[in-house]
Amino acid sequence: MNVPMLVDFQPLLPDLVLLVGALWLLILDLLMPHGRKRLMAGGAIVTLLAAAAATWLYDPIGTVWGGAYLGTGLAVFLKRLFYVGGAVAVLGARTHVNEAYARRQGEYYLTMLFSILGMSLLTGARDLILLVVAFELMSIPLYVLTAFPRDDKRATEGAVKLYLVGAASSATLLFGLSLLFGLAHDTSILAIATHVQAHPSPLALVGAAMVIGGLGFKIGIFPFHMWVPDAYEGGHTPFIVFLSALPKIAGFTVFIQLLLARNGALATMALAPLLVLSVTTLIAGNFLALRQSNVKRLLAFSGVSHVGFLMLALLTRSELGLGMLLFYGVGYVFTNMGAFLVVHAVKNGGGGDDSIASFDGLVRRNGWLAAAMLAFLLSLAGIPFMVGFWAKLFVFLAVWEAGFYGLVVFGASISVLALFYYLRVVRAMFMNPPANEAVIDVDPVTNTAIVLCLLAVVGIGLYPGPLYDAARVAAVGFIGN
Amino acid sequence: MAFPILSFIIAMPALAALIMLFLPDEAKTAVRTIAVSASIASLLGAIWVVREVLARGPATFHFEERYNLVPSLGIQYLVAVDGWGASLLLLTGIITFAGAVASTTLENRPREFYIFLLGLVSGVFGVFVAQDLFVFFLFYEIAVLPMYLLIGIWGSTGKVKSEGPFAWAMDRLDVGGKEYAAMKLTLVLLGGSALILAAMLGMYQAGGHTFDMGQLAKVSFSPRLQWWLFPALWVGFGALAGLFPFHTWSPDGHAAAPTAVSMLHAGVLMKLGAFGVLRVGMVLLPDGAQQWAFAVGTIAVINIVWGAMSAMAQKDLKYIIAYSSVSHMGVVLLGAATLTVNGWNGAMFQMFAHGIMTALFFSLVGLIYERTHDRWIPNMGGFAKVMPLTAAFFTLACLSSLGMPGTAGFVAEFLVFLGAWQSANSWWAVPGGIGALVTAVYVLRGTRDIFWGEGPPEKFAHLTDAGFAERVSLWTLGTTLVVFGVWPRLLLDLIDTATPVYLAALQAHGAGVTP
Repeated sequence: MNVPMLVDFQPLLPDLVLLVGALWLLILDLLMPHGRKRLMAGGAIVTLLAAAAATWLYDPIGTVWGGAYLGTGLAVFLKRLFYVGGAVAVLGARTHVNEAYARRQGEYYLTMLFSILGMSLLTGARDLILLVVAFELMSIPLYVLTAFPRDDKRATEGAVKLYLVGAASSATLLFGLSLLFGLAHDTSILAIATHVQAHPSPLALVGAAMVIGGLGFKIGIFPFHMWVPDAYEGGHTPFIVFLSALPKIAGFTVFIQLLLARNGALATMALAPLLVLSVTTLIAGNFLALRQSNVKRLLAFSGVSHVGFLMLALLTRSELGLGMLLFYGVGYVFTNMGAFLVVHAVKNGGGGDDSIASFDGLVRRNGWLAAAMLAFLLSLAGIPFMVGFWAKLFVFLAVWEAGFYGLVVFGASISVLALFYYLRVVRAMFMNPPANEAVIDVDPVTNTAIVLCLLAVVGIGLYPGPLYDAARVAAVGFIGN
Repeated sequence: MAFPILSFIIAMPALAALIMLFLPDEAKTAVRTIAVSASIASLLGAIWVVREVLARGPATFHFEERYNLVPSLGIQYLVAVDGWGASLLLLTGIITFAGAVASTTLENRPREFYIFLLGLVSGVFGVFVAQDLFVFFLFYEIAVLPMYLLIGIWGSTGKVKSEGPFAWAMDRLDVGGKEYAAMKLTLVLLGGSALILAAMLGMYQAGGHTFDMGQLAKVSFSPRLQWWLFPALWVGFGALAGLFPFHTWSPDGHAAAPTAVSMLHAGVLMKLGAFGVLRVGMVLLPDGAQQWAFAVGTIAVINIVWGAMSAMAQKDLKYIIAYSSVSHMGVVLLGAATLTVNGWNGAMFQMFAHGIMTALFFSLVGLIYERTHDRWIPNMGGFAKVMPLTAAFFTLACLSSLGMPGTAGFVAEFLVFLGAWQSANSWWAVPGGIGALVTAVYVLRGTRDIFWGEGPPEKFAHLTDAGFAERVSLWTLGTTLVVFGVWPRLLLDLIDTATPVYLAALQAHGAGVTP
């Protein structure tokens, strides 16, 4: 037996950088005097950026652990998204974490880094064992982070809910996976997909359906979305910035790994349930968002509807569709993080209660925040010159090319409905008189995070070419294998 | 390389808006100066383009500019102008100038107002010259979207009394309120955009993955596909052109909008919709146009009559003008449906004539409303004694509206009805003519009730006539209306450089088209 050399782990180099950085920070946290702990955020950001740099410096392509991990262009693309997105989320949380949990803040970032490490491993997991381990590595830190404000009853309640739902969803997912394993006698996803393609059976469909249901809880597919608005409303916003964005894309990573392998064998088998779920998710997400009076709940339901759009891309089972899913993912992450950061800034500086009414007259209390929020909302609604527009357009393009003409018309019409509730917030910000004239101050660190999100949203919106090409390239060759 | 005149015209308003972003709120004079200067620059550019296009004679396109935007998708910034585009550039230039001047009296946050307004104008200019379908769509969206904030923030809430069996529902929904109007307008128009987008993707896929309209025009889409795509474009763009039964956003929207916005919206934006039906729908999908011509024409006739009847029933000044727009846009769509040279020339001419006329109307209405804070016609009367100039221009607009010879409105309606008569469905001309008659009734009645007869009532006895800025705006629009009425060739020659080219392509695709 060969002794593994470090060079054999080259596809995992970014993950190793992340792991080493996180462990180093763990030790540092123990040694650091309390007064210095605010530096931990910087350490976390440096670690994430170093891991991101590693994806550019070394080509993390190839197999590790006998094929259990496969570094592909897709994996690299998603890793970069998770690292950069994670860094922005850390930046956005820094001021709040420093104020709220001064002594424990090191743990906060460490837990976050380990969650991101789980996501990062998911990007290449081609074996059920690694997939499940990485998935739990991502999920468990999220429960901890939700419960981080331990004196806050609502946050604790939210954490228990999230934990119970998460455990149930993991169990469902595992049960489905065990059925698939039982059929194929192999833990390799490729072997399973090949087997299912050759011998379709009702049991395989049940297995696939349980996988979809189990993951559906995690990413908030209707009707498994009930916990989402409660968790978002109860949780502390700087953490929701993270929770609402990256874990969803990680959940889709699992979908991509499982359902799209071997030309989408499993997705083709489960096409009908996927189709029904994506359409109902779009309808439910948008209609339930209509009547929300709390901005966080509104964004939660809007997130549900965006999951519906991502599922449309998944349905295409094509390389173009996968590429456009990646593009949509990038757009969604930065737009959503930006929107939640503004919600946080408004509540923090203006003392509101996250209701739409607390955004009244924002343009006069802080014009910059109102303008940024306008951009994020327009991007969520899919309006030109914001990244969200291109994301929706490209998904529609892929769906059209895949022959689902009706879905394009449906999706485009339902996104008009979405504008209705996004404009309610715009109306509050620009047209309603402010409750008081007090200026809302935002600290420079949070502001920087908002600026970064805005740059991504508007920058890609104005010049989508490079990201489009990158997403297309990342998707090349994945589906066939 | 030649001077990029089209990009210059598009960019001037956007550039002015960009400069204003960095000005302080207090710099109102600077803001107004910049806005008016930018509109003058664009107008001069448009005039120059019109002159050049006329001088260069009938050819396809001039002043082409081409840059790749997303090469892998074949999206490119491609602008060029032909006779149709040039005439609408001129229209937009004139109305923008008049609107920018008329808005100098605005006191509530003029900086933001002009930023949105000029951004919108850039979009409109872009639509009229874009030759890449995708860029066309982008500009279209820019033109439509700022409307929400423009109406929602600077609009006025009318005093329409809810009547009829559904009055309770209308009160609950706040019908007539500016926020209701803004939301309705945005949702209807973006619903249309969704249809346009779907049709666009269909053409993109079937047409060999290009958005270049020149390329797409050469593609022979299967008649079956065209049968599906054409109505999507017709309804999608038609929603903006006030197509029955999707026109109801227009009266609410135009009534609630501030003066300059009503001028631009009724004057130019509705033309965007009609232009889209013609330029994208009919030119790129010739079979679809012929298959659906009967439906398009018949609904256009309904538009004419329905709009006129609705206008008759109104007592709110702005609603009368707004419904008359619905009726007049029906004339444009009818001209398009005739698929004849006269009809198409008439449709383009009507876009121009109605644009100027309705902008004149809305600037007059804005002027009256600003002084009286009232739009309820029964409260008015005898205003000609205190504001003679306003009365004169209002009467002029009315005459053009009812198609009086010597005004631009006459030329347009004459051509369209002539085209209708020559078309496969000659009977279209009859209800069309009736609509024009009804128009005469409501506009003349409106003029009488406002300006002539008894009065003015005690509280309106001290009204002042148009001020300097308003006079500039009125004279610009009024003169244009008369000049093109007396000398229609000036515009017709320009339009006619493009019409036969498009129509020949359409004819090549099937029988049953009268030249």
